[in-house]
Amino acid sequence: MAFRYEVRLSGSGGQGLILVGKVLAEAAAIYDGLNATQSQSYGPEARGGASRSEVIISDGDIDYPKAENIDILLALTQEACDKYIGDLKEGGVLIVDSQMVTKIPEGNFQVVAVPIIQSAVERLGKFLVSNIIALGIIIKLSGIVSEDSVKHAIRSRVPKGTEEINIKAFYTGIDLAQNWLDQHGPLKH
Amino acid sequence: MIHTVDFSTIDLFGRVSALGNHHNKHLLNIEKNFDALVSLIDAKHLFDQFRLLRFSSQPAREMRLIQNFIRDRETLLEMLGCYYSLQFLLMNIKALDVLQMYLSTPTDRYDNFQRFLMRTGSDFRLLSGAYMAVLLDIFLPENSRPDFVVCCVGTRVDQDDIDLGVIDRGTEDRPIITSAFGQLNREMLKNASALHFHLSEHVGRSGYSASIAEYHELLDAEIQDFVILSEMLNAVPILGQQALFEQFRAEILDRYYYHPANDNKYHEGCLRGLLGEIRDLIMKEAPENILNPKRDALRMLKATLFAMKTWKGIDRNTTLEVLDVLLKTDLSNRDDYLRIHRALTFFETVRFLYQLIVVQEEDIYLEDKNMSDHLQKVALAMGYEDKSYAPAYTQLLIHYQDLQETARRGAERLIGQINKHLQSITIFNSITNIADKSVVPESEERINIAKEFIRKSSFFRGTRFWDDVFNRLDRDNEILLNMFISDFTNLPKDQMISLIKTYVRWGRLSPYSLISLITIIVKHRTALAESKFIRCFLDEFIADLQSTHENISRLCHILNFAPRMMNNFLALLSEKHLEHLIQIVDQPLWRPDIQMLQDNLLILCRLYKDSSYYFQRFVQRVFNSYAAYISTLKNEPKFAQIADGLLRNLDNFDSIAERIEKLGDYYDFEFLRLGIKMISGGSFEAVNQQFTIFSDNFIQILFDLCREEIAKEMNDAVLETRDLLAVFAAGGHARSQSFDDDYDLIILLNSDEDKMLRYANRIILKMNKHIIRRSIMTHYRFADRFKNYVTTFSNLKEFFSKPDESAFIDMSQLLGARMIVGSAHFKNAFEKEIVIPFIFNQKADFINSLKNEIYSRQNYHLTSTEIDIKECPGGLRDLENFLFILKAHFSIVRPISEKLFKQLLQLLPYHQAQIETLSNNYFLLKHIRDLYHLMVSDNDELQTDHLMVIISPLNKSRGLNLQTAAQLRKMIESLLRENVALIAQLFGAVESD
Repeated sequence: MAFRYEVRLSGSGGQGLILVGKVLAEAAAIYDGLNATQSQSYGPEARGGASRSEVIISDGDIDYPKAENIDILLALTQEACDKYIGDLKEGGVLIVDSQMVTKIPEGNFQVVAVPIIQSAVERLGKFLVSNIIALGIIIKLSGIVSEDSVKHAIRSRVPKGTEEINIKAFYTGIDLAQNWLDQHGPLKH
Repeated sequence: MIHTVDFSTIDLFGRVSALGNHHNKHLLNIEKNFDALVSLIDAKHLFDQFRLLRFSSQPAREMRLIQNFIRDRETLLEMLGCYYSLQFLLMNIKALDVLQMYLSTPTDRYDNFQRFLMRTGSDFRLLSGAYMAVLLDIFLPENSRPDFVVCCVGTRVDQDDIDLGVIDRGTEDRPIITSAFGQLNREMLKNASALHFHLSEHVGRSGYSASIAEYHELLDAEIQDFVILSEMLNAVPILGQQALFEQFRAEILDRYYYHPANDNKYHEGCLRGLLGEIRDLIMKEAPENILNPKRDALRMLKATLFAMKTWKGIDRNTTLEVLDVLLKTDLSNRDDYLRIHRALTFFETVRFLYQLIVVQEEDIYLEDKNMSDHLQKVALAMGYEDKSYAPAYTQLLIHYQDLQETARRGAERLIGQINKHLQSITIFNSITNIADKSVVPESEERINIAKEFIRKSSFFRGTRFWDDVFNRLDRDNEILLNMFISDFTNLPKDQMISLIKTYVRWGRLSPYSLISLITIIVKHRTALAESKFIRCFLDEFIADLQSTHENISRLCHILNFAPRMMNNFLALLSEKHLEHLIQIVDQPLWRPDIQMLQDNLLILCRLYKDSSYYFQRFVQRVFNSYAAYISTLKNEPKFAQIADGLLRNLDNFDSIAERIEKLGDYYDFEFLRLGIKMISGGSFEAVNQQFTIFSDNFIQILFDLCREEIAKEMNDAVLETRDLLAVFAAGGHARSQSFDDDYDLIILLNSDEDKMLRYANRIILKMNKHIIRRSIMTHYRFADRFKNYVTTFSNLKEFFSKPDESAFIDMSQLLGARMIVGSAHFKNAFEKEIVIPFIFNQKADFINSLKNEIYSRQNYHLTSTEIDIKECPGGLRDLENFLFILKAHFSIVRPISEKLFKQLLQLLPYHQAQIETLSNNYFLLKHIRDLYHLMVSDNDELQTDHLMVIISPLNKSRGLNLQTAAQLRKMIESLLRENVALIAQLFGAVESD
């Protein structure tokens, strides 16, 4: 039976979550030969400063474009976390920026809290790459798409001249996730 | 013959390498499959049927040829993807070349942008439409195809994604459509542009399509999200049954257009959604380091034109096509449409080229180190050239800013007209017109309009524009407003609270509307500010606010767009409300676009929270008159510049009345600026110095203006007053003490002429009127005694010749006074005729009286447990009286100041330590008093409970490390005790001198 993996990336406008959605979907569809759809918030919420992007990855057909049983929810703001936590499936993974999301909702899911934005600023001197750090964390924790494919997709989606810093950010995310796994043990799948 | 295709002849790879990295996937596709595709074409002898080195004008035909000769589905999809990729690259190269050709012609730059955008949009739709049509033929063969129609609902030229709406009949075979679109979606993501299905994500139950019945179900009862409406109204059928689309148009779309004499509530909802979006966009302050053509102009322009399209019933699809119709038909607004045309074509072109050449993102980060190179490419593509005065990209950026303004100006008047149109058709007229009926018969029960508004507005849930309705409440005649308020306040308490809660819930998505409503009510009914009704409204509103990024952004944008309204709103809030609001807003956002606004909002909230009522009056008044300057709250030097500008600008007003009015504004502005500086922990000395300068400026200029006005009233029969009349500041102002709530003045006249006395009195009377209007209480020393504002030398001489027991107080006032208006000649005469003979020459009596006063006051306040910083033993009054004694003893005229202390140090060389301590204590107590006046109350009796708030600025300004109010109180008590001891010690020194 075909698998269906749903990722929701949420936060506020300007955090680059739409780009992460595109990269993840293209990594899966173009470079890993999987099926993928990507959607993004279009409604008034997007115009009010919130941002949401969803990626569904499958090795079969994707007959419904909307994510409703989320495997991984990334929340870079408290508001996004509170708003979307209800769609996270039982046993799913909630990844949050530990500084931006301080009130973790209760529920039957696994929580990965990592200082994403702070790491972007402190390790790479650039707030703008926090989205790619988050992508690295997602890839390391989910293993849904290969690291090589994501690297290709990143290179194909960022402006010329910024490829290397974005790849560094990606590996920073992988490092952060690995550290988290070292401290907390593997996630339950 | 085996054909080859030599891409080097068109430098395909070289050209593509100059474009954004997102073209890589197309190069990869070509690299992977192109040779195979050519071999297959060649094998079928169809090479001549294909155009592989130039963009094809018939991509659909060529794709169908491929479809016809490849049987294996996987290979077919790969070859079609490869063909699409090649044509996509050729299309973009063509677009850039054609734009250069257009721009080399002498025609208008913006017309060329329009031609370019329309051409490129058509080419993209031709290619992507053909690809989707062929793919759908594969995934959804004609013979098994249910009825459906695919509509493009987005911007035609946009290559980043393709927004689609799929309409079906909702029949049981929908899963076939769903499956086909799932596969289409996959191929498009891999080889072309991602598809987005916003409509079907929100309308219907599942899948990629929705039926007309499902649109009815969602949209009949409520207007819903206006983005759905915008997409629907933008729909252009590209594939499938045209008849189904026509049905959709007739049943769903048509009702959002204006139909005279019909029910227009759907049209109204559409306009409310669009105007709400426009207002939200105008509210935002664009960050200086991020460009975003969509946010900066395109959304506003498109929403404006979209509103015009539904109002005027324009049956065109793209924004540029709608604009073309309006330019030709709505001639009265032609200038605005021309402005919009320039802005629209410019921003659309910048966005398109940036996404083509750099990256498919909306934000353009100017601080990125590669950005000037990237923008240079965009600028060159747009026809800019490097000039000796500026490189191409700098010119582009300058135009960007100019055209942002052009866009706003172009849209502004149209928005006003749309608003008027909305007022004429709104269903709320049935409510607001009630006020226009002269009398409602007693037998007829009037509807509760406060409830009725909520009931009717439920249809418009999701929209955020209510200015038109609230403007009716804001009318001068107040009839509607009175009805609205009484419909709340006449309800039983529980019902009133319940209705207020309903309003608060209603306003969750648009705090602007609620804040607007509350401030309109209080503006017209000031007395209601403290009423249960408004208190309850504020309690519920503040309690309901969540600390979300969206709410913080909304509040920040309101401050940016309507600073006066926000200022008036904050002025209504209690300390508790403000504390809660600060907690909500003071969160990390990582949003450079609102960082500055967030800071300003927090400063303003804290200013209200941490200010005494006395100082709040200044904050409220200044920002009510000069609300735009709230944006400079963080920038003290800029604030000072504005104050200087206000002062220098006085002469530019024609009438004296205007000058006086603006002079008062200058006073308030400076008072506020220095107050903020003081409570921010600024230097006490610097604030005092600047305070003296501006308050002296105020009195001097006011005196001149009042004299000028009196002269006019007297038909320019001006009397020369220069050496005869003087204005002295007494009390705190004389000692350069800031933030006094009153103004002690002594007006002296060195003449006994009646005419001169009357003239001087008239000037001062006028001055007094204007000072009082600033809420400053004026006291005229001697006015009671001599029954005139103006005191003559003769009055003083007569009084001091036969002094009563309180004359020493008047003497000390004269001795402490500082001349603000008057000549050196007058000052000499004053000292010679009054100070020396009546004070210095009789100093023993004066000193004795003051000494007795000090001791009797100390005894009087001995048992008091409260600290009155002015009157208690060792307080400011004791210190000042003691300093008068020293001044009289040493015959010093200089007012109390640092310079006086320096002079005393020289005169009492054996008591330097005591004088220095006394000086430090004096200025520290004054500092505490100033902070207490600004932050707690203008009362001199210090409440220990409230001392905490002044600790932070006091610590910051003086390098102290006080932690608690008790510590500060202890310190003050210690200073007071020390002062009592020092005064006693120094008395001895003076007496033995």
